[in-house]
Amino acid sequence: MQKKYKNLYANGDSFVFGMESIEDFSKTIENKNFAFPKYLHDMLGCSTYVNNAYNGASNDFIFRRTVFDLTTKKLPPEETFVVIGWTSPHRIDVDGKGFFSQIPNFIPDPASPEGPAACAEFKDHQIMFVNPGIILNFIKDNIKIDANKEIIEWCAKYIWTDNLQVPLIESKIIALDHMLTQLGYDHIFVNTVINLPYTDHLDPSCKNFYKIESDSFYQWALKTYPAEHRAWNHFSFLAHKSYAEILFNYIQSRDE
Amino acid sequence: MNKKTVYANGDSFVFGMEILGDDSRDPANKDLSFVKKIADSMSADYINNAYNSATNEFIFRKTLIDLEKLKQDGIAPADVFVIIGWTALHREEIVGKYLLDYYHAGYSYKFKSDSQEYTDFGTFFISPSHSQKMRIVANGTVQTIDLIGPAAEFCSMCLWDDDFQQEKLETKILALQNYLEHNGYRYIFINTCCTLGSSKLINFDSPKLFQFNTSFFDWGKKYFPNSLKLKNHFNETAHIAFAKLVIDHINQNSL
Repeated sequence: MQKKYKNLYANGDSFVFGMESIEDFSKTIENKNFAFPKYLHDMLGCSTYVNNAYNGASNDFIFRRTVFDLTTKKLPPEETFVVIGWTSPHRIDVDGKGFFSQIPNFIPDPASPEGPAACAEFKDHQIMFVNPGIILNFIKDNIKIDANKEIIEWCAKYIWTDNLQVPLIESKIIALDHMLTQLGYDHIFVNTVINLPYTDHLDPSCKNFYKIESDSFYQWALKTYPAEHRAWNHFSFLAHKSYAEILFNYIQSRDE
Repeated sequence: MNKKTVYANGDSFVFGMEILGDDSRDPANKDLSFVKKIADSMSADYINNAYNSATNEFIFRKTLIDLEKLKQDGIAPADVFVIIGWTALHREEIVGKYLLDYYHAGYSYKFKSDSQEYTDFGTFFISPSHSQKMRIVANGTVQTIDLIGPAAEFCSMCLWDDDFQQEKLETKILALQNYLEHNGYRYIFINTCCTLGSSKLINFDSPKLFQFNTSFFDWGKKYFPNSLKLKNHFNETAHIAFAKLVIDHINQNSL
């Protein structure tokens, strides 16, 4: 018999957020209600849904916010199921205050043409997520700052290599798995973008890891739901619902 | 009864840099570091995997990966005492290859680094206050380059913010504490040279965080100013005295 939970807590990137689950290009908060963690919340019979994922989030951010959110103990461990979606290793979150200080008195506004909606993380946490595919240009008073030029190039030169990033994500996965267990949270970790085939340090047989070395939500959905593939590489609610069913069945079988 | 092991990780203060002499980075310094003296007091085997200039991110990941390996090798967590020296907030680990290729633009070059992290991992640790002078021989010409310039400007603008970095450190401390407790490791965390603001997450008064509001460096400067070496580390006298403080604390609190 499946254990009942009152709360489901989720953290991760745009796939956990549910970006584009409603329609092409959609980044609105309503997408969270059509993301796979929401369907899993329903299947587990939860009444409270906390989805703190951000579009573009880095693994370091996902790790930090989860540690911060769950050590404040607002969600009792015995009543809460945790879903973490680990993302692509090659992402970074930078101090937005420092970056935007290049344009005096400039504060990016998600609602204005100068500030893209990607900056929800700046509004909430004064940071900015950057990945190799993002385009972020800010122009004001004839001053232009270009995240592509100033951040992505630096990261590509100095930190975005697998031999540096893979151990970083491995250590965070190990630490968070043990931490959640120690605190008493039942949990599941999935890959959202890419599997970790070269992992040297993770135990793929750990019951809290769903296909951590062999598959990801993106890879699975691309193969299984190609017609639901959206304009910006995410998937419709149909793929999310189906993935939630797979996770629910996995959780049931592992807990038997 | 199984033989105990002390596992240590951290920065140059844990490494024991300069104990053997000004600017000495010889691994033999590790045998004189305060953590070795703590290991001796426990009659324990001694593993010191600290690196000079290590980042907190590196210390976190290397500790986890090392301890997982120790478990796989059959060393029971209950037989291991873990000592972590957390370091300054503003440090970064970068991959060395691009930097070296950049300076030599297609020429073949020979490069031998004094930085152990480059030898072991192909990376360099950089920080705002340390110059990283590298001597490189390329096509018969000797060049000295400073790694800090091209890489650190970006870090100063986009990464090295106090609040941002403290949140990163605090979550690592909390996660590592939980990892160690879940596995049954005994441990103590030491602040080697970090200046911390007030914390929303961490209880600095925990006996497992040794005098976390101050640091080994600040303590050493105050009580052993004459022990200070060329590159701001301490001689063995200060390490012996600091080890005694930590040993007394461990015993008094039954850690």
